[in-house]
Amino acid sequence: MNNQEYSSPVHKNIPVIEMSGVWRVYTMGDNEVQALRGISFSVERGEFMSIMGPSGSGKSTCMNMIGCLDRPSSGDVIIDGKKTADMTERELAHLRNETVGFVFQQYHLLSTMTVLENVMLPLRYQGISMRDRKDLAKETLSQVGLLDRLDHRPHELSGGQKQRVAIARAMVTKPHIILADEPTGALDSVTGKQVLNLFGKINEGGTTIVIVTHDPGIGESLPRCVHLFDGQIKDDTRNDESEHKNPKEVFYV
Amino acid sequence: MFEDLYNALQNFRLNKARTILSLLGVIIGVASVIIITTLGQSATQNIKGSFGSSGLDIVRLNAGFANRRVATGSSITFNEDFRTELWDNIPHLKGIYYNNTLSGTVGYGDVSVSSSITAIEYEYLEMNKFELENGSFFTVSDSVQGLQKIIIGSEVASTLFSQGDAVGKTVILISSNIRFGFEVIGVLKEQSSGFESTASALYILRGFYDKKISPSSTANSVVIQLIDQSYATEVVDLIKSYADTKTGQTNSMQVTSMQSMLEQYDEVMGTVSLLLSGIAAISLLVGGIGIMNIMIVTVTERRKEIGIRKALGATPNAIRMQFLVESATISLFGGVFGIIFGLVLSAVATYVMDWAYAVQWSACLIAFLFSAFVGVFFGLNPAARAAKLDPVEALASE
Repeated sequence: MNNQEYSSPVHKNIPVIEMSGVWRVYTMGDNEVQALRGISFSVERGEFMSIMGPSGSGKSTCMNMIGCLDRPSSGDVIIDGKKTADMTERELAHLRNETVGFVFQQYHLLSTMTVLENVMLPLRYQGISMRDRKDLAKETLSQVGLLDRLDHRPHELSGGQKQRVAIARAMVTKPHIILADEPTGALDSVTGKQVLNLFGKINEGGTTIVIVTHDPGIGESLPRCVHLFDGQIKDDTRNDESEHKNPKEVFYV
Repeated sequence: MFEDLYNALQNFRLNKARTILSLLGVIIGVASVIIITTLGQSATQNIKGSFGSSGLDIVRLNAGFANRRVATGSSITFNEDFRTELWDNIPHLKGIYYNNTLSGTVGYGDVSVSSSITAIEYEYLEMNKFELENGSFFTVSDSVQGLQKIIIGSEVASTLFSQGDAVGKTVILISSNIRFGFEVIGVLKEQSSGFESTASALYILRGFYDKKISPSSTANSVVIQLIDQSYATEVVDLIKSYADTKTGQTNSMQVTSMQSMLEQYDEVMGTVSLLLSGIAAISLLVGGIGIMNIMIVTVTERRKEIGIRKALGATPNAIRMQFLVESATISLFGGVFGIIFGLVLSAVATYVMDWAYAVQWSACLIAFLFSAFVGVFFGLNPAARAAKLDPVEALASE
């Protein structure tokens, strides 16, 4: 899977993610933790990239910023042209719902719901009618090849199937960005590769895909990789331009 | 909303034991409201039923406590002057009947029955709407002449005259040192009206009592018939104050009427029901706190789910609604089961006690609405907690 290359349809110069001078500081008791220390980068529509870094590098915080789950302490995060710092909880929820699709390492499917209901859930928060939700969810599930598992519950599925359900759930609202947190972390390498291929296919449709990972194999196989270290950008690599670079070297400095 | 409900049901299915336990508080609260109101209503109907439909227009006078204890000169005696005073001073009267009672035995052949014997005036039995099984009532001339005639209850008749007809037979009445023969002229059906029941009653004429047993006697009690039962309470008060004014004492006379007794009973019953309903309401409140407790636990346990939903775009409002619907559903279930249990248990209780089954539907409705209110009210805080959760922290929780 390390050698798999993905072409990326970056034609339009429209930034969907813009981070400029983003700081995120947590206060824990008397301690101040600086998770992000002045990060700036921009992602254009249709990019397929990874954010890499060891634990504690701030990549999770960075992901939360892009996913509109968190707001910067200072600096600007602009998602799809909207500045998140000034938005209310409710506005953030709408932005998440319409613009971002989440895929998590542990799938995070709701265990009480069937596969179909899980995929329908984000549409419900858009106030779409039940019938349309069902049609859209079925259509999306057919794209990930799970039409025969509609009425199963998550615990009846394999890890790869669960992750495909999660991807369908992230895709169903047709978001501009799909944000995946270690999407292959809980999967074996073959299944992991299938999941990455699926992301590649989705990307071909124009969706921006950001994969947050500590796996240098993924970082090296994607067109672009932003390395974080100690809350700062250590490196922003475009693999098609700098194939001579050894990602391992970059990662383990 | 509908989907929140569906969702809530799914969660209850997964946490059956917990859901049932948290339902219990509301079930017990609602059921006790239903049982208390139903049994109260049934008891009331039962007691009113035993009073009978007639007799509500009757007021009864007895010597008061003050009269017996304190030997002041100014006490009221139930003599003929007093009868005139009543007619002159108290409105709404239809008839005044003086009674004397004595205890004794009535015998026929070898069999005798001890009972209380009432000496009555003309038309007293008719006024009470008693009916005859056999024979006839006293006539005016019987009454005026004070003839030795007796009307007996059906139970007495069947004891004394186990075979054959009672009417026309002569029975021997013995009371302290007197002994007379009486001709049975009538047997009363078993009935109860007002203060009296006829089964083991013995009625002789006051004319006879006056003449042979206690000449120019005063009556033991006075029974007054009113023009209409609606005057009962008013007349009771008027007579009391008339007697008290006349004697200068309080409680100089005991004045009772079925109607005013029923009114007092209703008042007492109302107070008792209110008190018990208050206790039931407290148990509903405790049930509500139980729901709040379980909802807080639920919210804490489902932080991850809340985080996921928020990541998928659920607004704080959507999350709040979800948990409000869940707690309202629990308590509405509690309300419905409570009403069912309450109705069934009170049906069993009234059946066992042989009372009428009188459900107060208004109480059912109030209990149901109250349980819904409890669910929403006690769900507010847990739902607000859920809505306020930080999505990042919620997602990170286990």
